[in-house]
Amino acid sequence: MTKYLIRRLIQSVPIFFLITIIVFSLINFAPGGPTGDLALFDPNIKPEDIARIRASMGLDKSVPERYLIFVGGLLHGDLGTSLIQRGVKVSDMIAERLPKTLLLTGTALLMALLIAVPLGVLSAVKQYSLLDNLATFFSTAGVAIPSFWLGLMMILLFAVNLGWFPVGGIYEVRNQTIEAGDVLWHLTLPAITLAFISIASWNRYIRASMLEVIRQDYVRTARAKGLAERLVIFRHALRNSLIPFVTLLGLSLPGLVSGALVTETIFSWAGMGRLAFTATTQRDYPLIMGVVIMASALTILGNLAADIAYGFLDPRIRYD
Amino acid sequence: MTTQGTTATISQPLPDIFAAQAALKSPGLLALAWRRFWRDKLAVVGTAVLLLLGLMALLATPLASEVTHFQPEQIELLGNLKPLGWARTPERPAHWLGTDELGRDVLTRIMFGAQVSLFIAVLTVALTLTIGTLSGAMAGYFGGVVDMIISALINVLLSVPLLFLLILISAVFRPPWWGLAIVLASVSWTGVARLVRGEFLTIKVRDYIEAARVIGSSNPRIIFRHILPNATSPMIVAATLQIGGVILTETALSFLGFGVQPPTPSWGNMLTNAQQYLFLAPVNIFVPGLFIFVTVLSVNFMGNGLRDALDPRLKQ
Repeated sequence: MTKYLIRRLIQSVPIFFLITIIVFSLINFAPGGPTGDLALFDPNIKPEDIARIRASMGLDKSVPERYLIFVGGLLHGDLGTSLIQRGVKVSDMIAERLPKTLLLTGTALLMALLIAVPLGVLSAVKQYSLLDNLATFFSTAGVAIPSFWLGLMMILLFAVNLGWFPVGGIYEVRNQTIEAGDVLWHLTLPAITLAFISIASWNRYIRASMLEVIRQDYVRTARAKGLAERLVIFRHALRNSLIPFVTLLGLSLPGLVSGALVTETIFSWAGMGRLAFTATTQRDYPLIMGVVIMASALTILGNLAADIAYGFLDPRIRYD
Repeated sequence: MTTQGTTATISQPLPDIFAAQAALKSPGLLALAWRRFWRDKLAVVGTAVLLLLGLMALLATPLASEVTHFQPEQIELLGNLKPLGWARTPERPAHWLGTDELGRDVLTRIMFGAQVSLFIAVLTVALTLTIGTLSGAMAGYFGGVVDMIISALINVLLSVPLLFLLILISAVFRPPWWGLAIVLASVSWTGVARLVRGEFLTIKVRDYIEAARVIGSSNPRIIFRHILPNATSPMIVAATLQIGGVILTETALSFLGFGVQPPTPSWGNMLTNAQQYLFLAPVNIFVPGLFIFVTVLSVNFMGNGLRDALDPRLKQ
């Protein structure tokens, strides 16, 4: 097990560095480079001024040299400073936003699991029942709904027309203190929006894998022993059908974080996604690099966690 | 027709096996697939809806001058954010789906938006198939370092939140609307590549490939002539099922402002401005999203039908 963990960790490292290379090259080989827009903002700018600015940003060095400096900083947790908010550290900006994104994606993930798993199990146990057919209909439609549209419709219905939930934000700005209940109230709509597509696709997956498992001999044995159906399904069958699902969970993390970008933007949720959105709009290159790399690191870690969980859940897996 | 052929051969004293086989096989694989596809009503409906939408996109220009009587970029500031069916005067043509914040006709923009969104989707999938097939074939066939590099790239693209990467690429290169297809394809070829790679890994060790090599077939000939045809059906299915995802990603990018740039209409960027006028003209949010939803739903129905028709073993 330890060996497997170590090997799996080592496998993630090159992926992480490949991402830093891709992000770094994208920004450096962009037409005009990071200072390409300077002449756009100020047509009278002198070439020597541009050169001076480039030197101050370290752009007079060669590309590989700059990459090494960048990665060296990254390994020390130094991601440089923002171009727009002068002097503010990128790492500080991310550290401020990260918990908010984790709160949103974590809630959505939990919500999706709590709905998708029971729904999938019930659909499998009562195959072709009304509930199963409704779930199929919901899933087919659910994966085709654009998430940003869903978010806007939620705002329209539940915030504008019914007034049950706020239009956006994380907490009521007028309040002096941030209260948990208030945050939860603001969290509801974005979390549902983000969880929606996962619920739609995961419950089908659970259903398929449950259908496979309940036909196996050991489930029949459990029934023959006279165990209650509830125990057979939830203790014996569900455990095994969740094993392949853990892999899917790991694979859907990048999609969930991508979804957070859209959801955060629509609901003005000041997390990493919205930070990426504003940084890209303002062409704040160091900030974009930091956010993209951090978001990627997050999903790689999530994937790693899923793989490790897989190892714990399924003792049949061999690690060599 | 088949039964007739079989009984005819069986009634003969010494049945000609080959003729009997030919008679039994008469509906070819494609015909069988077509029959299975046709039986799947949802797939047929989905295909019909897609054909209609495609027709609407192709005929957007004549439809705009003959039917809606508005141009996609025709601004009418005094008639902005009007409800469904609004007309300035009873004699003037009505805006069937209302107008947007600049008084442009929503239906006309939907038609031209269909042109943009559908064209990008089709082009992206074509590019995805090309890149995915070539890289997957090379990785599976040559193995070694080639496989290592391509697989590493696939792993990276599978573990990165793609939308973050896409807005970065789009902001850096500022592609014209058709260039978005290249941007989208550059991150979405992994599915096809993995499929093709897997197919190559299992087939390249078969005896007939060895035989082909012995008689001196070149690598490209073995790759394209002997191995690739085996992967055609799953590739078609994967590509079709991907169209929906591509449309969702493109519209999301355009919605965020990193995709199709105004004034070119796209189903995604029509929603960007609509969000600001949420209170005044909620219908402007509803319409473009509905078109995206129906299109993706139809593509998925068609893709599922194709999957069941081309490979009945995969049926869920």
